[in-house]
Amino acid sequence: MMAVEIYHLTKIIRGRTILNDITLELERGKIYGFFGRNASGKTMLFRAICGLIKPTRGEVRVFGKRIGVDVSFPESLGLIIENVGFWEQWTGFQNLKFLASIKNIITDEDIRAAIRRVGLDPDDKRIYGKYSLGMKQRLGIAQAIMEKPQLIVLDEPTNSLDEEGVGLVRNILLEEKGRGATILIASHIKEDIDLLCDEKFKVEAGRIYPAGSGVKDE
Amino acid sequence: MIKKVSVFITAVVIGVLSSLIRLDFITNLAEGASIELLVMFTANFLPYPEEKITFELIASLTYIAPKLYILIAFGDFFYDDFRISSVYVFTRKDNRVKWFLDKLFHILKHLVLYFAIITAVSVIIGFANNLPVASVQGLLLISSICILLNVTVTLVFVLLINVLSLYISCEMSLFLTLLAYVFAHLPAIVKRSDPVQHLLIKLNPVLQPVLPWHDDGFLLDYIQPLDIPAIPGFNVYWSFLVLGAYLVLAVFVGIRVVKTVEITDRNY
Ligand SMILES: Nc1ncnc2c1ncn2[C@@H]1O[C@H](COP(=O)(O)OP(=O)(O)OP(=O)(O)O)[C@@H](O)[C@H]1O
Ligand SMILES: [Mg+2]
Repeated sequence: MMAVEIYHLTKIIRGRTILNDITLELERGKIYGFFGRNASGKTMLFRAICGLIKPTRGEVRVFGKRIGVDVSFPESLGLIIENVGFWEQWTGFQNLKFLASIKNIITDEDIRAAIRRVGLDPDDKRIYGKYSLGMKQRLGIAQAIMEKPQLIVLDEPTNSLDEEGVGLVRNILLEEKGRGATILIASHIKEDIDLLCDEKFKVEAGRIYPAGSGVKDE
Repeated sequence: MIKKVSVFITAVVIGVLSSLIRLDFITNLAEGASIELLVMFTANFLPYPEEKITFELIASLTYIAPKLYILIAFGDFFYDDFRISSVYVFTRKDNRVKWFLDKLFHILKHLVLYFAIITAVSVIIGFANNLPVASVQGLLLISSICILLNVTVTLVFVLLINVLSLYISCEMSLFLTLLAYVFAHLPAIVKRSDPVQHLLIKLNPVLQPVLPWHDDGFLLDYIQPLDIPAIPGFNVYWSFLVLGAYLVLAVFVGIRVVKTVEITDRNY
């Protein structure tokens, strides 16, 4: 079974075509990269895959289940979408603990391990509001991976990370792939895509073009 | 967490204030003062418009203010999940409709507790002031009906605010709904010909909880000595039917909206 299947996905908002007849099949256990100019539709595509927006036409299936019909959101999903924040007055751990309590499938120790994995300190008493940009992004990544999801969707996961952070995230993603997770990344950072991804797609004006496999041919 | 506690503390304060204000009114009635009347007049009474414009500030305040407060307290209850981390919260839920129903029951629980506290406080204040209980059964019946009517009508409006807040800003939605809520009380203030007045009251969600206007048999013993005209055909079953219809409609609309609303990180 494919991880993600998209057929003729079109999204029109107030008369503007944001996603234009996208058809795409993504296999399990691979890393896929999406690149393209600002406003080309990368984030919107990810939103549609995650069930956050409703397609105007077409369908999205994740692990065989049709999003918005069989399930509201993909089962077993970890994601970061652009600049979604956390609760400012809570510490990193408190934030993740609250989110983990929704599904209640991991322990406090799992949360702490996820925080350590991104190079943060689970016992850090600082509240999220006082985090630096890079720390915030790291916490977002910890949030996305903590529940060991089968599908990981990352919209610009490294755009404010330092070199060490970028390296860390790359290793994490390779480990997650090793575990069998399917990973989708949108990024402006060419190396991210080239180094990590098994396949690349170019997004342009709401359409999708295959751009060859990064790892193999470069 | 904090919100819950403060809501219940406020319920006690509101209960104490309203019943003390109403106690005066009840004990000044020539005869038949009872705890049942105190309960009824604390949060479920408005004067029936006899003049062209009938407006009693105290009565209107004790009727409207407790509900306004709870509407404001829960007005951003859905929106809270949308404002921060919406993407992280939602994608962890099984399903949008379940999210909605969870929220609904959560609000329902709080509303029941809130109005139960207000009612319990007025019963206690009645006892403390040596008011008699005319009939224990009557007291239980009247208390539960007062609580349920208030809960249902506020639930409808809480849903309205919350669903609307997914489209327009939270503040705007709160403002518009509260405005509509307050304006809906007009038939209790402006007098029209009886048939029109009765119809406007009987179909009006916000006036269903005014128990002394009902013509149920079990209320007659309490209300008749007070010279408050009961509205023919306006009984408790009718009120639950009307409010039930509004509630079903609100839930239905809520589910539809939540099923399709787009979860984007637009800056509200
Ligand atoms: N909430 C929204 N309502 C209406 N239009 C939107 C909304 N969000 C994005 N758009 C539009 O959709 C188009 C695609 O935006 P999207 O965010 O997917 O681009 P992107 O490829 O992620 O860009 P970037 O590289 O800047 O992140 C843009 O033209 C944008 O204006
Ligand atoms: Mg984007």
